[in-house]
Amino acid sequence: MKISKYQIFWIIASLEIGMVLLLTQSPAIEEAKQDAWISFVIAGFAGIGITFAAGKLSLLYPNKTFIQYSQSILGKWLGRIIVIPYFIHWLSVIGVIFRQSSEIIQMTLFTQTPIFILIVLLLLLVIYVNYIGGIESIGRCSEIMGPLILLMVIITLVLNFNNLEWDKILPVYTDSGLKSILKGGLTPVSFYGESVLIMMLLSFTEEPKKGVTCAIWGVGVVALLVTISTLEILMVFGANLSSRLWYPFFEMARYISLMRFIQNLEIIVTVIWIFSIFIKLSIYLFVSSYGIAQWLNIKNWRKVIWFVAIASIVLSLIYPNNNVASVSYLEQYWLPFVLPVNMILIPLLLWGIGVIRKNSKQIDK
Amino acid sequence: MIKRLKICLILLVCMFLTTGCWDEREINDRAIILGWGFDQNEEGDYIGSAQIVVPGEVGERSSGQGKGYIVETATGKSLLDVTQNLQRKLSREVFLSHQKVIVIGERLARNGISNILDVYSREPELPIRTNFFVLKNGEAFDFLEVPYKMEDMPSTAALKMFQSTAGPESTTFKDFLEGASSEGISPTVPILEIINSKKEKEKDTETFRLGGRAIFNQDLELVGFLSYRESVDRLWIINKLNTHKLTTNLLGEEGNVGIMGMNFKSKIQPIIQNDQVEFHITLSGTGVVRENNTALDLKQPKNLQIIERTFNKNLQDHMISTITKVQKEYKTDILGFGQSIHKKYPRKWKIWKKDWSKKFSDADITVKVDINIERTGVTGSPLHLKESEIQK
Repeated sequence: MKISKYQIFWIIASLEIGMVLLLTQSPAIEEAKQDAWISFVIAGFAGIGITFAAGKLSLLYPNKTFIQYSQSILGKWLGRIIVIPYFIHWLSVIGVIFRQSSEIIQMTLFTQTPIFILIVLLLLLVIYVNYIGGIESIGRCSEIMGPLILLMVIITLVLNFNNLEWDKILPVYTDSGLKSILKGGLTPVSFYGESVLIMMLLSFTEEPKKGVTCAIWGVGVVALLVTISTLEILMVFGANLSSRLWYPFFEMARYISLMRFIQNLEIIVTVIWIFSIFIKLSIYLFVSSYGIAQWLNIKNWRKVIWFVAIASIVLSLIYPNNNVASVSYLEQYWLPFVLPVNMILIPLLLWGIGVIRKNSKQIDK
Repeated sequence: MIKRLKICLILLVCMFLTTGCWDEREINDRAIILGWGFDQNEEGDYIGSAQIVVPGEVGERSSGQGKGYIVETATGKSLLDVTQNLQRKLSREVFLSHQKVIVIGERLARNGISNILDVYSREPELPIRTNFFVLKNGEAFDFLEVPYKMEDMPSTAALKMFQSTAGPESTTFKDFLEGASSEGISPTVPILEIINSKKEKEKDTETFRLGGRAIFNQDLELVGFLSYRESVDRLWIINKLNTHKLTTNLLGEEGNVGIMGMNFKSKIQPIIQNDQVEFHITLSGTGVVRENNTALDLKQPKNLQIIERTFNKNLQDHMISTITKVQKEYKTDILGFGQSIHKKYPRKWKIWKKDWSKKFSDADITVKVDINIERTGVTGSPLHLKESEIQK
């Protein structure tokens, strides 16, 4: 299985943008008010930093996945233990994404369909793409879907130009202050930071070094588009209203009305947004099945897909309601644990030890 | 061959799985609601009236059958209750996505409307781009019953009236929510009025027209009305006036001059001195002369200047009287003056925002109007005047 460097760009860009647009803007605006766009600028740079660190770490062992090189760096047992937080992270997030996305599909498109059916249909699709070609077919899918997703975002942004009132972002800084701006950036960073997935993906690229550059570009493009869309949301709805809307970007898509006949675009936006969710779920499913297979030395990783699939259905249905699945998961697990440990601490730690080991080996030679 | 059959079978199964029929609702199973009206009765219960499309009869009105819509009402403790009770009267399922207009009766508006707003922002089916009106001197139910000849649906007529006279399209509900949720500006809603169009004795002469603006305080209770002309002043101050036809009498001349005003701009400059705030409001716009009932020859630049000066003077006087009325009578900042302080003096605003309505009503205001007449049409002086009557 091989993917090209452009496919890395499209995978990263399309897996990040969907959930970032859906879930990060409202909490960020709630915290930083009309200065939320500054939070997003800062978060964008932090996200690029996280991607850079993860990329550099993977480049130490360009032909091994994260599961393999953690054992090369820390030794067999410690290396195996340190990846356990990632399995928890991946498996739990698959469940949450399934739950949230089908909840939104149910809300906007199929109001009477049981959520279980939506989850199973989406899951079958995701299993199929993984079974048929693994990362290679996901890469190809994202090359087709990625441009559509970005186009959808850009069109939504352009069609709202006539609704903008730029003075709604004033006054800058005095209402929020540095602390609130940084706090508002926390949720976006934790979503941009999902690009640490390249630790598993880089070994499949033909040119790993350029793959890192492309991944950084992917995060950068997403960060830019999301920052612009936050600015537009603030200019359309104002800080007070948009902090209370759960999905301000979708609300903005519904708000489009041009020449009295370009209206009700939210359906198209939702459908294309599902593409992004599809890529994201497939990547997480691939990474966890492949990772578990390598971790337990199972030869045929495709067998693990079934285990992960069943686990993710269970994990998506255990939440009593949508609020627990989105808000509590984010506040009690994702922000205090995944962001600092899985996205920053472990990659940096492994990178540091890895560099020292490599250097000492060279000195030995 | 067998492989092909297998593929065909799989495709067939997929076809049945992905038809999307689960949520199918045929159009003739739906009661499409275009306009909602809300009132409150003496006991405090809400009365909701819905204008529902009768699909078969739309467009057939000319042939004399039906009127294309029906109006049904229901009462309840809350809006959800009202909808539930309404459904009991309807053979088709209530469908809200196409709703265009919400009308609030005056009594409900005076009692406060904060209890009926939440359902509109929570329900994903409902668009936030909705038109929101208050019916002056009446119940919203009466409005929905008024037949309107030019459009199939009276609700559509209301929103088209608003779009063609006043301003931005379908943003009144969002603007209202924005005003209600932020400090420094209070929400307003456009008014509809039921009037008699022709002679009173004739039947079927009731119709409605667009009025000015209903003023709500921060508790979302109706406190007063602006007339149509005053609401134009307000639109100009908050920079949302598109075009408007203005007419004025000339000082020292006989007759009046009318212009089509365009490119209206406004600038609010708060100046704070000794804990006292003063607002300088600069208003500008361009105009095209559309009507000249005086003897002035508009080819002469000096005559144009006379017109400009008179317009500036009269508009300024009217503007000051409007602002003073809002300040002294209603004590509610619907002009965004508080927001301008928030933007320019954010630190001061943090101290002031608590008792802003008092500060607002005490503030000094100066207004400067600058209308620039660009064109005068295709004649200088009126064509019907004799040479000797024209004033050069």
